[in-house]
Amino acid sequence: MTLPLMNKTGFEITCVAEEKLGRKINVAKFEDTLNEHLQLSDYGSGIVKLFFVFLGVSISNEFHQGKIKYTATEKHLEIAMHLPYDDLVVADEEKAFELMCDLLVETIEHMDEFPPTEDFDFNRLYVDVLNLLF
Amino acid sequence: MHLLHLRNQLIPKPIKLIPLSPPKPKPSGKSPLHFIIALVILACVGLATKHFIEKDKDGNPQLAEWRQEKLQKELNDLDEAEQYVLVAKRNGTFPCYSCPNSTTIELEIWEIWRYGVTSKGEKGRYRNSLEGTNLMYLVQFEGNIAECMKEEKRKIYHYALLPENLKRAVPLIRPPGNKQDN
Repeated sequence: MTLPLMNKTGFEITCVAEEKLGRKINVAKFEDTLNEHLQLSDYGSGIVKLFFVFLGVSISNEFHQGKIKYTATEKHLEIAMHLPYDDLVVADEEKAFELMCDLLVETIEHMDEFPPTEDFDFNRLYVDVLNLLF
Repeated sequence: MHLLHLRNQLIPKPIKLIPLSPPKPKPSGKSPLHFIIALVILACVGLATKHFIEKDKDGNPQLAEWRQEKLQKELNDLDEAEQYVLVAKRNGTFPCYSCPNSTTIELEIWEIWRYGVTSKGEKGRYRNSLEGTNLMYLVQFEGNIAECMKEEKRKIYHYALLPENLKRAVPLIRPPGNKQDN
């Protein structure tokens, strides 16, 4: 598949989900909210692109597992995390957006336990994302 | 990973223009890099010559155990597959492989770009290539590879009848991201 690359900096959000659940996950709104208010460069030079994949599939689905991968040469951080499946099943779009906010904040909160990114202030990003989304 | 490791080793160290002490004679023998390369070559040769045929207790040829295990794993992987659709994350311009007179197409959010199938052996493949595409991956059907390919084919053919396609001045024969019917 050859597609033109979009923004090589900032936040990029997408989802991998069961069709009926994916319809509730508004990734464009989430991406726009982050990119309109936050700049990764304000938190250090260690990350220029954060690609976040919301997984809306059961954890037992072996095709799509969570992962965190940092590429130092490109200063690129890729994160894939499961939304809480049972909550997503009964959520409407608004509630699904809250679940997305919760998951991103929770992930960033624990990123300091993840060592490879140099010169990036996850604690400050956590505070700013929290203030922005809640 | 290995290439990066090797590349880091190959980056020359800063040269001291003024020697602080008389140059020491180089130790005889090869550098560690030569040793690593030799090990890699040996490992490759070892893999290439790994026995793939064994004899059973009656002396009849049979597949080596590692080949049997690999076969079984690959067969199992074909039992688990999923059929997915890639849809537009937002309104925008996308490549079009099935447009008669254009290489791009305008899609609205949720409109279909491509149907596909992935088997367990390819897990995670599409997620990696989602980046920079403005697309979302939605799982539509789970089953064995044959079931998923049938489902994909039905969807590719019936795409022509979907309202999002019929509203076009010139409807497409298949989704813009599908180069062929399979």
